[in-house]
Amino acid sequence: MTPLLSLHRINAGYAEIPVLHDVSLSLYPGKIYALLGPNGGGKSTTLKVCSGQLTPTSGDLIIAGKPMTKSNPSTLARAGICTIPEGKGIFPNLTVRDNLIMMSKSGIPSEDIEEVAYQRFPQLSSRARQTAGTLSGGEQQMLAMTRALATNPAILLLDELSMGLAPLIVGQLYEIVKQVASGGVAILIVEQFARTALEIADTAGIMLNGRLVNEGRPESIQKDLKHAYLG
Amino acid sequence: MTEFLTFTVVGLATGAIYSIASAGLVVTYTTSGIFNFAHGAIGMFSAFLYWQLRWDEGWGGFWPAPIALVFVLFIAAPIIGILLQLIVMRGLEGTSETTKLVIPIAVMLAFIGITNWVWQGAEQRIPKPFFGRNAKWSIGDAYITWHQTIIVIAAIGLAIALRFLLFNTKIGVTMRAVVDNPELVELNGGRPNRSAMQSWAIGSIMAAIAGVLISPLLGGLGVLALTLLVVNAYAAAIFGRLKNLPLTFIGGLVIGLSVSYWNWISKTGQKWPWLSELRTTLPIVILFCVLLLLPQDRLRGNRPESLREQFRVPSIRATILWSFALVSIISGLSLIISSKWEALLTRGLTMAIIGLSMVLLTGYAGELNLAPLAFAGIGAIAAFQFDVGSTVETGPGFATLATLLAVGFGFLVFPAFGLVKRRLFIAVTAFSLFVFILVVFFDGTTGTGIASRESMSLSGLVVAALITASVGATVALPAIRLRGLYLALATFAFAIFVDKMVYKQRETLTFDIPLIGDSEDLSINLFNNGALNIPRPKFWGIDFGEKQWAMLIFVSIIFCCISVALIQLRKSSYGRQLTAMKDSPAACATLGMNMRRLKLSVFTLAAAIAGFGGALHASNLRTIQEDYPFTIWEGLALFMLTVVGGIGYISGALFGGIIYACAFIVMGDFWGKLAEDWRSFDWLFTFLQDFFLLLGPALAGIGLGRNPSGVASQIFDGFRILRKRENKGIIGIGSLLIAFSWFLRVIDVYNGWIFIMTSLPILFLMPLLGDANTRDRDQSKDKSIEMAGIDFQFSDEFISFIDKELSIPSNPMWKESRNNDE
Ligand SMILES: Nc1ncnc2c1ncn2[C@@H]1O[C@H](COP(=O)(O)OP(=O)(O)OP(=O)(O)O)[C@@H](O)[C@H]1O
Ligand SMILES: [Mg+2]
Repeated sequence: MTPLLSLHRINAGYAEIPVLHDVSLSLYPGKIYALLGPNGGGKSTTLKVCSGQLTPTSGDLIIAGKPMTKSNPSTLARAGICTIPEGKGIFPNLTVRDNLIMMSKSGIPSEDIEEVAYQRFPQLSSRARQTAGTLSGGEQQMLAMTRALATNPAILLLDELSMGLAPLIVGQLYEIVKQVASGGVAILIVEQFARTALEIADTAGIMLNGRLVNEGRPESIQKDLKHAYLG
Repeated sequence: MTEFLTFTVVGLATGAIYSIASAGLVVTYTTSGIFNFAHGAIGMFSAFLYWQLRWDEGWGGFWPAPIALVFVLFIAAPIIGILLQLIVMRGLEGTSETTKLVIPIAVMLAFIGITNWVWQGAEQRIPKPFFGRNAKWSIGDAYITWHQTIIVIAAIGLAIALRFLLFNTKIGVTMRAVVDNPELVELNGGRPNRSAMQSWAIGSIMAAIAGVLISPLLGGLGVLALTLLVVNAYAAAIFGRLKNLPLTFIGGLVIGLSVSYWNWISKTGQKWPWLSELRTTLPIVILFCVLLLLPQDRLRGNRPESLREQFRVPSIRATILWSFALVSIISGLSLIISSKWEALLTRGLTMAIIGLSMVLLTGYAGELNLAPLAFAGIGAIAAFQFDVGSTVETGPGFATLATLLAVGFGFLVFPAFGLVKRRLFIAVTAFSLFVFILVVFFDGTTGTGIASRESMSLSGLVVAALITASVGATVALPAIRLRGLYLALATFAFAIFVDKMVYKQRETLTFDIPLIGDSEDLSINLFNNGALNIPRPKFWGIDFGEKQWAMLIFVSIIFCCISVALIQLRKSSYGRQLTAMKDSPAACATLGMNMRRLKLSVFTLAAAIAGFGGALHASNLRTIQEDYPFTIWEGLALFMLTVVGGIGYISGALFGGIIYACAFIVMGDFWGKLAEDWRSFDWLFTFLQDFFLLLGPALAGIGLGRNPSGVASQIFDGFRILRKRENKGIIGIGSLLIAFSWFLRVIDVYNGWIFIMTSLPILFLMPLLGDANTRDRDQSKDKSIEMAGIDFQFSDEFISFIDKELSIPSNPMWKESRNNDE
């Protein structure tokens, strides 16, 4: 099976400071990849390279066989990559409805998007005209998720979806992630909160100091994880 | 009834124009987060362009209306908007509120400059309404012109179209989303830049429509009048809190109607002469009131890490040293420059003193004030009225007033410096006693008044400061809740108010001073007949009126004293509170700081400085007019240039003041003189002259985006290297050389030009040499020998350095073998 997205020996950093060293990973259709590791390990940075927000200093980003290292985020988004960035996946001053409309690409009428969204998260339908910034944290993440899914992405990149949420909601969100994956979408989840993520992942990687130190089946990773966090 | 209808129609029509203009403002604000101060100026420019194409005899001229309209509204205006976004506004991301405000102001001044440049001369330019003056229809007896009809139809159409665009189309929603989170828009496949360009194009089309529609309602085209007219629309935009379009439209209509009804009631200003200018000021008064009544956004913590500005605080010792340096340099200069230059420099320094009030208020405390010169003007008027003026009878009443003001000032400001309870009481008493003695004894103001006074006295300056301080406190009191842009707009409104209601006031106002009795009524003719004569000071046996150099040195000493005081203040606990308030009001509130008192006191203090500086400035100029030097436009330019210099620094104020008062004039003069001398290149030099005079300040402001911390600090940074010990020699030799050149100039060996040509290069060579010197030393010092070849490459110099350190004779063989390796 060819990967939908793969990073090949990526080195990247901010200004003068190198963060990622020689990172390679691949996302396959229908599979969930969980990227775990302690704070400051470089997980979000990896995700930024995947979404085009950060141009790597060396190495390649390959989307469906095509090298697209130098592309900007909006080109990649049009190519089917959808990202929910860390902690700010919504437009806080727009209404819930406008947030959904924002995602509509030509072809998909906005009514359809809304309908699908409200089906998935009935809570949202009563809040359609509320500004998104006033939603609760969980509702905001739900909105971010629906928004992301509305475009039928081929690749979904999720950064810390569970941040600040109750375990129940996290479970609910991951259930949806799993459903989406079964529809053939390649998914990268970046997480602190390893246990739930490992439950649904097909592959997992541990990132430490900018290096992918371990990669493999979730069960085998589970054992190494303690090691990684405790040094 | 017919009258009522007529005035309603007029009000609706102007209101509709305000609605259109303010809607454009709201569009750019909601989509870019930038309040486009240049909006009015774009409208003004478009009106001029339209007039040019339709009616001028020169280029353009006699285009048919539809073609001219399409060209102005749908080609020129969007291009202006797009260029603005591309060249100027795009660079504003991540800058502070001050920078976001100053750059559009600079753009506004640029448009004013360009228009003044292109459409020079006093020629009357009269645009005609659509379908001519006589095309009208009627309801009952009231006539409605076609122009008015078109205005109203256009407003309604545009309102609906905009609303639909912003809320029901993907383009519009994206435009609003970009403000919230441009990164996320990009992650969604949107193009934030394109969105921003669209919104700036739309905004500038709206401004152009308003400008073209409103210009026939004036007698003739006037640059400032037209700009201010569109500025009236800002009030409407605030009605809608800069985001609600329907409210904005209603706001526009309310403003139009109130002006029209006021005209009706006051018989176009004839009924109450002293209120006659309210016709033009009413929208601004409404703006001020709306700002005050508007529910404010809750305090938000700023994110200081995202700001590009950084201000350092120098030590007191350094400040005092620099002060001595400045005073001696200026004294030295005064020996060798002509009195014209002395006058210019003095002007620059008095402006710099006014600039210091902005350093305190905006630089230290983060409160935006667009009315520095309004306060300065009030200071000048106060000095005139109460010290040297001819209209106010000063006697015991005046002494009482001054003392009361001093008491108020003391209670307001002193607690900020940690004086409380008994110590506060003592300090206030001492201060008011000081003022009382100053006013009563030293200036002999008891008895007959000072109508015949021929010079400004020290008490005049102090009283000017006190009165301005009380005005500052009065303005700040209601505005205390306002922050950022809203505060800036409130002060802007105040500045326009002062411009129109105070400077243009021709009536004698009579106030009852309570407690003192009828004979002590205060009758003031605020601005005489459009000019006030304010003489120079005269004390300690020096007549500053005769000796410009004395004035210059006096002013520079005052500048230095205030500067040292400000630095001291910045370093005190009060200064730290101000900084904390600037950085995060929310955090301050949670810490339980009393921010109201803090703001009120800093406003009062800043106003006092501005008033003091204004009185000095006026007295240096000897006369002030209603349109020079304290108008809103000059104030904006000074504010802008101070920000360019670096509003967090004393040197920023110095830079701002001097550049404002001298640089552009000198440059203009320089090119003007060249134009006279070299007739054949006349056109080029005249071009350059106009360029610097009309556009210089604005371009300086626009360039600021690249360097938000200010120019002055950069220059100082350049010289910082000279502070290292190893560079002391360079300073010594450089200063000696310059001093020598100065000496030669003093004994008239050569003229001023040669002095400049010799000293400036030396001055600028010093940091370069210092830099080179330091680098040389660093190279040999910082590299540890053990790391040679690991941390850095071997070089021949390094090898010879090792050789020298180890005192081994250098070995050419070794060198050769290494070269062969490569
Ligand atoms: N914009 C930036 N500029 C400079 N350095 C950055 C920037 N963003 C991240 N870094 C640095 O890069 C390193 C990796 O950061 P990254 O955000 O990728 O970590 P992370 O693994 O996502 O951590 P967390 O689990 O806390 O989100 C950190 O040391 C961080 O300080
Ligand atoms: Mg992260």
